[in-house]
Amino acid sequence: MDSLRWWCSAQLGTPWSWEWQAYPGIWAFVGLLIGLYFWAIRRLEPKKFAADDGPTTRRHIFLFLLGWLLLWVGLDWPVGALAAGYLLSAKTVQYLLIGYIAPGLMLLGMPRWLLRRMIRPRWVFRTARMLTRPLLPLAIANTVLVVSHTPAAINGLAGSQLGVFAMDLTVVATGFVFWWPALGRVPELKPMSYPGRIGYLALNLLLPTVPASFFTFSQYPIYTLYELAPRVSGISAVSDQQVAGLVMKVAGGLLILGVMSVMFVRWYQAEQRSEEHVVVPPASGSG
Amino acid sequence: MALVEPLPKPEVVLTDAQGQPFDFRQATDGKLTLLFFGYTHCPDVCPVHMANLARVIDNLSASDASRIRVVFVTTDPTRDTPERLKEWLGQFSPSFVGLTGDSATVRRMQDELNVPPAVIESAPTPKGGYTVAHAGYVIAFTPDNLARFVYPFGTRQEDWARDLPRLLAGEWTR
Repeated sequence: MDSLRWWCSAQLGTPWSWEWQAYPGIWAFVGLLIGLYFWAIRRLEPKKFAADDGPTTRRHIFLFLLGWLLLWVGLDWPVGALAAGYLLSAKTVQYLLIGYIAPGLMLLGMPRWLLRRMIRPRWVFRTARMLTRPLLPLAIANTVLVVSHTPAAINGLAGSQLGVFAMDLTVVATGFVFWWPALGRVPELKPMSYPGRIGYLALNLLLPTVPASFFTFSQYPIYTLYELAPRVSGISAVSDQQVAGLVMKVAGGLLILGVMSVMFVRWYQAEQRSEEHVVVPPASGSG
Repeated sequence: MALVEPLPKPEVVLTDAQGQPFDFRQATDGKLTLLFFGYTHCPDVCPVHMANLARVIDNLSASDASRIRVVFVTTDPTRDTPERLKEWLGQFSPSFVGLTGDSATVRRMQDELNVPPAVIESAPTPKGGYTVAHAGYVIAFTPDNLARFVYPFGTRQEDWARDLPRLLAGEWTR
């Protein structure tokens, strides 16, 4: 029997098995997150709210729970284990789950009063404000995307539980950084206008095309880890890599395009509302 | 990895996947021959080697590909019947040659090539089968019928893609 592992990392040379495995480090991590969330919304919620704020709603809790669940799915067996040492396509699905979808949903699931409370310390406020501007998050998100997909990172960290843990946490944290300027949850941080947010997302739509193209069009496997891993269900290393490219491009693209569409609708609605408040002067003239 | 002393092709007759006798030396004469001892229930090394070779040979020109023979000799003749060999190798490439034979002949072939003999592991696998410990490298016979190189597990597709054309072109002495 294999020794217990606390985080999903590659078990080099070990054939893939559909037999369930426990990763207690992942349970501890996701348990801590959900515990902190419920502790915060039960113990820290204020009695009075600002005009643009309100109490925690079921929608908040639902979105946070959904994001948290997808984070858990992305980290734990089987997705996490397949991603750690067997399939690049699973790695890409994992990246979408833990680096994009889950952080976005979890951020939407945090009521505004909680975010305000979190950025109350001066240094956190400054950092949050800095991250509301698009350039730094754009640079961070895309640097992490590229660096975490270099052969050195993937092959080098594969067998180390601590290495994969650090990389996974970096990806999750980067997901929050990525969505922070796009969601603009706290008005006092002066978030971008809707056109600015749409432009920011459009830039993030373009940059992941580069690694996705490498995956799709490379003649041979890029990563030693996935090329020499025992095969899963007979999928060849090159087919797996092509699927990974498609997932990154198509699924990742659809996700960001979907959010851009929502932003566009919100922008339109905001424009409509502002037009409703415009007082049109009566026509005057002698005719 | 180059062999210090090139080794001649063993003169053995085994049984191919069609159940016909296969004279190894005669049938691969003058071809770049890539020989591997493995078994079809192998969970790791064998399918990776076969998949990598199939992918690279598929990307070569038809004339280059026709000058290469990939020969897979089973180290598990009990389970690897000719039909099983044909089915398993067929998922990689229909051109791959699967051979089976009696243990003594396969053992003699391994001995002549200084390959450690395969051993059936006594511990059963969780599904009730067994594994076979075997050499994890591919032996490359250049077209002059001498084994000059071995390619260990870990050889990547890009390594094969670089080396196969050189071996076909007779560039191994440079």
